[in-house]
Amino acid sequence: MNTPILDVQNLTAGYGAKKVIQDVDFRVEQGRIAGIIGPNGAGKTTLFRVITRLIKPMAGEVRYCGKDTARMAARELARAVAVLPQTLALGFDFTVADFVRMGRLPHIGRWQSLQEKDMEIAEEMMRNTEVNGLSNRGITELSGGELQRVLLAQALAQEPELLLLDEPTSHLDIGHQVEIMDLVRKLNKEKNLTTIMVLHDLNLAGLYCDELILLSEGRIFAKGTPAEVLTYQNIEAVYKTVVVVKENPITKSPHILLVPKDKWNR
Amino acid sequence: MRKIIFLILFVLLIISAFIALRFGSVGIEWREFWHSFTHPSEQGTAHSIIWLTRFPRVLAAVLVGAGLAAAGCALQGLLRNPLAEPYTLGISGGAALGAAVVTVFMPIHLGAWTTPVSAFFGAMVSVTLVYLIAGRRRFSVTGLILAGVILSFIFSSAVLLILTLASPLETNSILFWLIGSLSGDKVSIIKAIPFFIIPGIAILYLFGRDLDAIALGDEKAFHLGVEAIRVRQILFVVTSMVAGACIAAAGMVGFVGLIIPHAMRMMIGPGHKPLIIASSLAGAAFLVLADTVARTVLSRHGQELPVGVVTGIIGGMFFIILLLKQREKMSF
Repeated sequence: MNTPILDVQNLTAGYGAKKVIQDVDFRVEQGRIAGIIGPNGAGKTTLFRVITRLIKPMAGEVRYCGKDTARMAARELARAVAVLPQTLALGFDFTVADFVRMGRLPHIGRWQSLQEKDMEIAEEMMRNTEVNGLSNRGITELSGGELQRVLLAQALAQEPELLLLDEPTSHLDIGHQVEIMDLVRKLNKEKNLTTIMVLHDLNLAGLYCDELILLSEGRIFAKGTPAEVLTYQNIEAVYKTVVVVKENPITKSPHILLVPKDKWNR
Repeated sequence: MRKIIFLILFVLLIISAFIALRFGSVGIEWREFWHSFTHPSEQGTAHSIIWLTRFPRVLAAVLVGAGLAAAGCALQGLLRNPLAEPYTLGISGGAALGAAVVTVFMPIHLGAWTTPVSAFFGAMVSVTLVYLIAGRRRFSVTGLILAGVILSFIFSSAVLLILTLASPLETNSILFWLIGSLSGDKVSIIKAIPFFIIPGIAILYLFGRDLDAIALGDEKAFHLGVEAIRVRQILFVVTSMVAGACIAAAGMVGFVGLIIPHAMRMMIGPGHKPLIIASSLAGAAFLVLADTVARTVLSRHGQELPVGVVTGIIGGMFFIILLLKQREKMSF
């Protein structure tokens, strides 16, 4: 059997003595797009932060290609796993080109300078995400959609095996949401880049993910394909609201329709 | 583009050094000036003024200017704060207290070394305290700034207390030092400070890309393989050594460490590797020129200004012009 690219084993984690997630256990095979979904406070962000090693697990482990990530050096991890955070300090106005080149950081030593090859990789990733026209713009001047694509270019310049995204569409309108998600799927197909993302929007999750992990109160409530996970029974139980699940007539993926509380009786 | 700017700054530094050697309270003819360069082994009044009085002082200004600007540049990146300067993290208060205690109570006598050594010692005491306090808060940006600012405040209050107890003569000497001045015999001090400042700047340069990553936030830096807390620990010590050596040599020359990195960032962008080179060159040239002004402005009255006054006034005005030219688009 293949070693999964990410293997999360009986993970328990939280802050201080408080356990936010408990016994979370799942694996993601190479080349898949997996989504982590769940209501506010279900532990999505905590799970994401343990996977990206920003916090330590209390129990269990996160294995990347069979290796315990807790034992990997930050640089080693950064060469394999790229992360798109939800927030970023934008104190200094780097140009887009310089910003994307920073993705090469885990590959170059302190005494080395950027080589021709590093420049080419950064260029290529900017073309991939269609931000090459923005090269000389400052990152503080970009729109939300542009910034996401530039961040994606930087992450790709790390030449990762695994891409982790924290709510990549949270500040975007529907047009830009589809643009970013299409781009993520294109990169997944072209580069066989395994992708795991935290998503708030269940319909986007259903449209773009191969598999979903539904969290509720710190535990996995359901996992499987979108059709298996996004059932009205699961969603009503976890989100405590009434929904109707229909099939998207074009993509055949599940689509969730909301129902206001005063219409619940009908 | 960047190489041309480095070259221009380097030429500017050389020109500033020549101006500083040529002009001063004692007038020297151009003929005598060139003679002392072409015949360095000959003795004479002009020769001894240029090589024994002015040259050590110019060299001290070069080192202090470069050190303060590079340290300020690194700290602005490290703390993600454009208002950070070499004195932000409490080093100045400790140095001032060290110097004031020794000036007033004279517990040690080391000749020309008395003030530099006591200031450096005071600086290191405060740095150690800031390090210990910030360490309790995992070297977060706010932890470091809070510890630095509060310790500065305590030490400065202690300095004021000592000033009230001091004689007018002692007060005067402490004040001159607090404002920052390159007057006095620099022959011995320039034999010591290069060992702190030059390797210090080199280390800051080597950490340039780590600073770039940290500017994006500790978490993003980690995702790029840079452990921000470790880098902050190391560079806090390095910038403190550099700033401590600068303070020991020249007192608290203000503004160089704040405005030079700013001005350079506007010119060549925020990438820290080129920024540290450019800041060092520009800081050196700026302080050499400022010190020349400080020496010459009141020379007819047989007095000189503390260079800190000059850097404050010139630097402040220059900074306002930059801000006005920049209008809305800020570089931080």
